Amino acid sequence: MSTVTVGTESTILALTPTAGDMAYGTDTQFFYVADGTNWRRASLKFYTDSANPDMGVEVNNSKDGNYATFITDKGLYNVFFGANPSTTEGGVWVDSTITPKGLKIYLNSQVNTILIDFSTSLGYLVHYPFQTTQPVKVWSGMSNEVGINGRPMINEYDVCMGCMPAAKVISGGSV
Amino acid sequence: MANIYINTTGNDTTGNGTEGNPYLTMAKAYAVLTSGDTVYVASSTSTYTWASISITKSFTVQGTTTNPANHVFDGATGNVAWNITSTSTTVTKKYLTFRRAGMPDREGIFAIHNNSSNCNGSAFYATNCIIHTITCSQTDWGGGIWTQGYQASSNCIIDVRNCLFYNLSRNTSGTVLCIVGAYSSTGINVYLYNNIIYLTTGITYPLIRMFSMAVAQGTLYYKNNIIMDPSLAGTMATTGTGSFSTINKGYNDFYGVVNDGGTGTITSNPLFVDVASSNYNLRPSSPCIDTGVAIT
Repeated sequence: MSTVTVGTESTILALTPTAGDMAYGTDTQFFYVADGTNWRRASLKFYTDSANPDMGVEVNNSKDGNYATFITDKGLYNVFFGANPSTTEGGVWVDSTITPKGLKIYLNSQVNTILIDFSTSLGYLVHYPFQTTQPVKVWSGMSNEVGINGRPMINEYDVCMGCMPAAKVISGGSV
Repeated sequence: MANIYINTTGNDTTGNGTEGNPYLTMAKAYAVLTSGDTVYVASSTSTYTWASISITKSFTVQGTTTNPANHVFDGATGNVAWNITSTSTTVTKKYLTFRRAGMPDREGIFAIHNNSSNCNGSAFYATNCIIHTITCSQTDWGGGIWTQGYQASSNCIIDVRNCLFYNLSRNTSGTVLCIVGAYSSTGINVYLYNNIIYLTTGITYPLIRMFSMAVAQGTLYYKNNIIMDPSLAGTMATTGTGSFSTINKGYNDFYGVVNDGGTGTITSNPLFVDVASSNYNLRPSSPCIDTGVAIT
């Protein structure tokens, strides 16, 4: 018949590991099972505080801000958004079906692309407009790529036909 | 990947290809380069000999400034062919002018072409170049400024963007800008973006003529181009034997040639500033201003 022992880890490890015996370490909060040769320790701890339990398998974090339904002021590491489109308000996912890939959010009953692609080119922070391959400098809305006349091929996010893009005309309005 | 310089003040014998001691000719630069090198065409307002090269090494050739009028290759009315004759070979041209050349029989001025074997996976890229005063005497097939074909050559790329073409002539019908004539070739990919093609009266097939090409082969992307025939008697932009499997077109201005369709296409006079003096800038009232689309 299997036995269950409650004690410190050193006490448990001193016992003969008869197959099927189990134990709980009061100092480690780990659960132990004997396989007939060794004591094997489960990686899951048994936490003693029933209020505001931590999420996940680690229990040695401060529980400030952890609640059953939301998290505040906590860092998230190695987290990524899924790739499946969601029609739930606030659903966020990565759309890999477009080039470049986009980060999308379902909000106000419609899909919104919230981030396409930012990069650097020739020292400038550049943005690739939706589904385009031409980078545009964020600070000016102009492309690094120029036409034969030296003017940017994309000027304030507008594109001319041909290889001789026109300068932007700034209207002074009327008096 | 090394940088090699040519300059009209250079010397093919005593030069070493550095900026301070450049070579004189493109032929010399090509002879010494290894695949992946860049040839810089140095100095400003200089004219270089433009001779034929049989190309089996990948390289980039570009002006040292972004103004193509500063770096001119002149064929002096002779036939010229920069002809890729091997597989997986890429040539990129930037900020250069090519002028006064004829087209060899069957080949083009920039050709992916081999009489005896394929040129699979090879590519010609041209960005911000001016190509003018070109004559073609080939009466039916072959030729063209860009050509892929003759022997079966598959998965090749012809990518031409931000380029200006004018004063092009041909004695009878045939393609002037780009012919994709390929026996049993597949996967022919043509990209034409933001070019101005100002035709000479009487040219048929102003943009692309396909010859001996199977149906549904490769892709054609062309947007933001201005194609104008001042005689207002131009014909279809793309035609011939065969077809592309994918055509992504739109936001082109077909003025004086048959409207090839596509979203955003217009058929209005582009209103160049002064064609007589080769000033192809757009007037403030041009319908081509801000009516293009970012390239996808």
